[in-house]
Amino acid sequence: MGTLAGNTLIDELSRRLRDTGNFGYARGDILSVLNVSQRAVNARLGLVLSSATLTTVNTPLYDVPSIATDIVRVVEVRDNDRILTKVPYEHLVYQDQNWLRLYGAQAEVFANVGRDLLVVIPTPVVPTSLTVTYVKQPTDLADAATPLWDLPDEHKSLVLDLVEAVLLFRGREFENMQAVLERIAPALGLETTIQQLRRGSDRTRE
Amino acid sequence: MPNATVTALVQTLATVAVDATQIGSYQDQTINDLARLYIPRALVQTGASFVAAVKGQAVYDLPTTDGARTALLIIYDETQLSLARYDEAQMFNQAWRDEQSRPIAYINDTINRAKFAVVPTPSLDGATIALTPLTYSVWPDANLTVVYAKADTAYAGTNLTDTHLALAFEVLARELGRDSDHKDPEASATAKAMATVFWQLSFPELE
Repeated sequence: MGTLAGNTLIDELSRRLRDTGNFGYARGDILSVLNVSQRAVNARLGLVLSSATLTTVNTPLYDVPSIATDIVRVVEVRDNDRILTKVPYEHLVYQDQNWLRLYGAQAEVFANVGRDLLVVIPTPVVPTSLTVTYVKQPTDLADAATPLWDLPDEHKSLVLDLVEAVLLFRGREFENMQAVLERIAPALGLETTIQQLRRGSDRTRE
Repeated sequence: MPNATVTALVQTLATVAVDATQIGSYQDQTINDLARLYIPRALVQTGASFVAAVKGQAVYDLPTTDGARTALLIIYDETQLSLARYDEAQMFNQAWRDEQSRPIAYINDTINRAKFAVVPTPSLDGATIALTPLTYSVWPDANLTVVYAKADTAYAGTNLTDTHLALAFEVLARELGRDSDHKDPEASATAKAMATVFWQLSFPELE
């Protein structure tokens, strides 16, 4: 849990955009972009985690929103102290071609299929309580002193840079936006994508 | 019905008076493109359904009433089928549509993307289907289970809120790219690139 509030972050962003009176960039608009951007950064870096209990049933397929409504992706499934192996869903067939109806004493492997499906195989013969650890959608901020944001404070500048880049797009300040994105690309592992964005911008100016 | 939060983000980023109806239409189109896997590095909405297998029937419909657009995995009874090409089916048996046995592969229909065929055709009628692959109590033998990417245009899942900016930039790229009084090719191209950035942020595991 961080120590930063929405109103403080909006004030700082308004200073960055040279609009402390919020004439060009309304505080509500900044807040809506800030909330989505913090969720995107958290999805990328897995900063905010939570856990839920999943009791296995007579199927390997589980509806993720039924486990918890704020799951971005499942990162770990544990059977007490034993951690299940995570595989891409395309590799389930390499575990066993009959994985859909595979039963066993304990679950061994899990896979995410998009945002809505979780596969756990083999299906335990006896219903088992598993602990699902997942990247959690962070709490939305408000233009107020509470709630405090969920992300670690050391990622403040990264999130604010991303919000600044989005809002500079709104102002059609593409060169300034490009500079901001190049600054945050290493932290987010997006160097290649940002290079492609720069080359695309160069082409449109030719 | 377009997602109101995404629509609001589009209007926030657009700064011009955009056509609300067209925005909603582009949003639906983008969600369909996501389900058709046209947008790389983004697998968002997924689901699973049973499809009743019929003795001797080769071609089946994707469960489009459940929103299915692209089959990710197809399982016959309990065995996952291999994805084959049409020419591979022909090499297996030129009369594969007439042969009845236990299916081992499936091919996507070359014309109608909402259909697929199993190779060879089933030699049994499937059991009565009740409920879904996530909720069944009695396994319906000898039927098909399809795991698919789906398009729910309401896009209302609270587990999808981190993708709202990506979706908004996709919509904005199309809106600013079409012929209108606010056509802006450079902003359209930049919006498309920003959408790519945000899809990568939301789906790091697909890189």
